[in-house]
Amino acid sequence: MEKLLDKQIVDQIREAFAQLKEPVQILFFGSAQNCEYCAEIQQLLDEVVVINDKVSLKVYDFQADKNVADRYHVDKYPALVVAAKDGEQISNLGIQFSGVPSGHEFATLVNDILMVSNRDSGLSPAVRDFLKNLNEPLLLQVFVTPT
Amino acid sequence: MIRAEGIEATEFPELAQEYYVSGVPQTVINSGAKMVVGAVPEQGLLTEIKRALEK
Repeated sequence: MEKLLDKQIVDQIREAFAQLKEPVQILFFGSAQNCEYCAEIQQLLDEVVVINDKVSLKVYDFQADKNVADRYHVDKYPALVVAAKDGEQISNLGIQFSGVPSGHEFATLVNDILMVSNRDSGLSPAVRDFLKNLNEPLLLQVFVTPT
Repeated sequence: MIRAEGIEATEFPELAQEYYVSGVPQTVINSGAKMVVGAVPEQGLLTEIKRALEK
């Protein structure tokens, strides 16, 4: 099968991933039915995780693995979750992308992986303080387009 | 407690329509409690989050 990521991109990601600290677990939720882009996203993620062994991929079926999807609050597919991994323990940080992570969103995905691996959001102290004391659920949905 | 989801608008048109997404990025806070059109700096988003939570 033809690669989705060309050598130049792979080299750039490899260089960025050289700074990875802690393991990252990507969880992909797709479906064999009615999913135009699932195979493509899975291939893309396969090509990303093979670049550095600190990043790994688990593939789930949205319907068959509904219990896993529910646990990660995944309510649509295709979707991917970028989580922290410590040994066998996977910690959900609430980071999800729904749809194909292409174009600008591919850069976002790479940045998310770096951020999760560093276990640091990069947020300012004021924002951290506010969020730390938050005692009700907060859902931020950012709509984007591939270009 | 806190979840952040990037959504490819063209792949989920019904959801995008529900929130009247016309330009991107558009950030929807707590399922429509507040909407932010365009990219905003961290502090600006925090202000909008606070407003959304006051509702």
